[in-house]
Amino acid sequence: MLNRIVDMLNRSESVDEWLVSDKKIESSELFFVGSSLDMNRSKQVRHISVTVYKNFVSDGKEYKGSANTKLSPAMTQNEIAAKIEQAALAATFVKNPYYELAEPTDELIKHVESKFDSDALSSHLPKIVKSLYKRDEYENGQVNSCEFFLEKVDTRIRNSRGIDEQFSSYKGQIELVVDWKETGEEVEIIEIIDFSDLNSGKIEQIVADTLDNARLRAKALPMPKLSDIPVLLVKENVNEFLRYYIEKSNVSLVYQKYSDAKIGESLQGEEGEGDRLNITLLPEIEGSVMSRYIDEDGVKLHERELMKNGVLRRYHGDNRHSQYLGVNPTGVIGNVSVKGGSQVFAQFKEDPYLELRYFSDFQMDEWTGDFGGEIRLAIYHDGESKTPVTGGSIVGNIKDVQSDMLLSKELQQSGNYICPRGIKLFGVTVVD
Amino acid sequence: MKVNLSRYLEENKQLTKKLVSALLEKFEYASVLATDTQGTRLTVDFSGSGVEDAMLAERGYVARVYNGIGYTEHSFNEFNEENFDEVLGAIVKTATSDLAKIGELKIAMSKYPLVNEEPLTQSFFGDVGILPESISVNEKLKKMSEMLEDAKKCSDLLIDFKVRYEEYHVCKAFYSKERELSQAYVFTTAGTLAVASKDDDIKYEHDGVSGQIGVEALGALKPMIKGIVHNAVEMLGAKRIEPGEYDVICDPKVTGLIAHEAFGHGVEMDMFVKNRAKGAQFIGKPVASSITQMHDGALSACNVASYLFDDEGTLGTDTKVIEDGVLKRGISDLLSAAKLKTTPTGNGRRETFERKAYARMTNTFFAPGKDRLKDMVASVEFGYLLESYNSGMEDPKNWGIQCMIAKGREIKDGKLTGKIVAPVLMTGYVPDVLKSISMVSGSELFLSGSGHCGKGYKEWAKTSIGGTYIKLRGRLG
Repeated sequence: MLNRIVDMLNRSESVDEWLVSDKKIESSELFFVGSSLDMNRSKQVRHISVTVYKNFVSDGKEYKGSANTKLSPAMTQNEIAAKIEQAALAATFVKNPYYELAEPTDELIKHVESKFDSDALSSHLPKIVKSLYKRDEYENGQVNSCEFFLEKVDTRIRNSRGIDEQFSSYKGQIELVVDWKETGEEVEIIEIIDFSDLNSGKIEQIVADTLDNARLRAKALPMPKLSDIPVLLVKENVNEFLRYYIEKSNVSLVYQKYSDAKIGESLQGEEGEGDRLNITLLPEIEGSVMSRYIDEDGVKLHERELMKNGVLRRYHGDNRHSQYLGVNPTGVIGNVSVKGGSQVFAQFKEDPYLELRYFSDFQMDEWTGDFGGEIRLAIYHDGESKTPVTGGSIVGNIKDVQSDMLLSKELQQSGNYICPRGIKLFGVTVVD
Repeated sequence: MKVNLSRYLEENKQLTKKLVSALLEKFEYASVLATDTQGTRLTVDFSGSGVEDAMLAERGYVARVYNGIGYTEHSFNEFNEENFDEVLGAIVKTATSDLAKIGELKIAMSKYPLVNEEPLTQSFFGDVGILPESISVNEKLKKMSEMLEDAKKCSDLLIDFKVRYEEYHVCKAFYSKERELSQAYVFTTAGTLAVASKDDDIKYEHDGVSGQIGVEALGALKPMIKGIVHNAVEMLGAKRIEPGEYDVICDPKVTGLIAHEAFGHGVEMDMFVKNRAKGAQFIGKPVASSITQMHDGALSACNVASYLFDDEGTLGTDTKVIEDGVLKRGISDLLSAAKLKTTPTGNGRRETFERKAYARMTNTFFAPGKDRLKDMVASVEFGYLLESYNSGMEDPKNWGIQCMIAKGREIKDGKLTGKIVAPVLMTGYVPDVLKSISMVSGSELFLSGSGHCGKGYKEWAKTSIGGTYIKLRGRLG
């Protein structure tokens, strides 16, 4: 089918250039309520995404219009031809400054190894299920429900410049909900576990930690009135906070003037005594669902240093916007590595603090720097004792806290980030 | 103009029915949902324009069978006479040998009753002013570019202005032993995002129109441009609110967000099955002030989530969730209703044919009351008029709410002072918030279907939310 599409694109007089992404996806899915299987599902689908380009000159300026369309394997030859022609026509009305499509290179793309390669998808799920329920062993708390998804995706990317690359990847996800009851009302904690490799021990540990946090939430007291207390961001909230810097240095945001980040200047400001950020983008992190050595435009991906001692070393991002800014395209690199800071995590806890473990939804607005969220579980240390607390919220702006923030020496891997285990922030408003 | 069912679904009807018949020879229940939804998304902004297929465009199938204990599903999108046996084999494998592998772990299987369907053959074809396919992409982009130029003239402080237009032509057919249903309708969303910047400050405002309307959505959006730019610019320099509890008046968008996040997710009855919703213990009990009425349902309003039947072949309804402040009933998918022995409400929805069906909201809103907005503002000694939102998050188990609200306009001694705070985070305990509702405006019901709703952190579906102005006590930060 792909060859037929490529042939149509090459023969079409309406199409100047093209890019095709062909994904064959197979999945196996299990849905549990408590420890009982509630439903099983499978999926076998194919998605072909075609982008057609039209090059034209208007008022003496060169433009490249594009339009993207999805093709289904259930489409007839005539339907596919019509979709391509419609997209080509639409592309003539899209007036984007000219850029070049990615060119092929001789470099071989690396395969991201995964233990899931060894057998059929449905064979792996029982092993994952076993590891998930292994630590479900408490009287007052349990796995309330969970959903397992395991996908194998075979991707082939081709373009009219001669790129023709293919690779396989795995995408696993567990939505884990645990609950716990002490003397008050029953509470729950939700954890999303993304993975691309089989690591039973890691899943067991996450379940154990989540149950322990649910136990703490069940004992939690309402958020007291707090002022001038340092807050500690932990777990995946660290990723969300640091995402601000990844977005601010993205070519798309810089080109659109949502970011005024400049290479060679500090993204954290010149003042302050906090830790400076050292960030590197990586094509592969073990177990990350974002690991790959080529992006959707066909740009091959490599390790790239983004920030050193708080100073921006380069922009990063997609082929088109990189060319608009006149920088060498890094491609869209999916993983982030952030170096540790000056203090071990235990030092963060020597004075009173509020450790923020779970939010309803901690959010960073990458345009404005505003961040905040409603707190589901935090640990409050008043200098003498530690108390789990719940409710209330935090609000702040990264520009007000970044120059003095501290990064822990210890690192954690959370999804597609290897980053400090905790960040200590000063001057964040805690609302009771 | 009447909307037609896709030719693809018509042409594959017999093949799909053949698959259902073949499955019924092996399983006591079998159904197939066939989808063919065409969707296009157009964008125009300061940096260029774009044309692409919309996120929820799809063509494919999902088969569901009763495996003797519960239900098994298989999704696929390559289906013809040649691969018929292969597809049939994949469904059977998932329901038998794949399931047996899990059974080897000695894991209990959740027992479900056999679906008991009344025989039904029905179709629905929507009606819109201007069919999307009757206007060229060029003409649509031209209208959008004109709006961009209008916006540029409104302020020099704009760093971007995005005009987005999405059109969907939804076609679905459902087949089982007893049912043969089909539907085709069009919905569109047209919206803008104005981004203003001054010194180091960036603020933005979004607004739009949506509904089972055609290209006329773009015409409805055009007069709103000036106001949207003005709203973004006036937020520049706005400070954070002094945290505390205030009398607040919520505009219809914020009202809708509260209905959706604070309560809607909490009455999705698949959460009752999992013991994840506190609402289950409150059926028949007061949860809001007595002037509060809340609806959800495909038939509760005509907007982006209105349909004849859901993704499990159940007809849509209008569910009165809260009547006079009392929680009356929840909203359910087919299997949750079977488990709970209740009547399904037609809320079984899938992100696409590739995903599981869950109990999902459709058009969710607080019904209009009798108050006048000017009386509501006059009744506030010190508080805020909350306008527009960026996001929200539910907590059905413990009834916490998180609403990221775009801005608040200060009210002092019953008058708007002109001072703006932004952004505003509203949190609280749901019954406390809903029981504090003291006034509900009698203005026209407003519904917005411009965004997508997730279940937890995934499963995106189109929903509409809204209401009128409500006054309540809110904890803001």
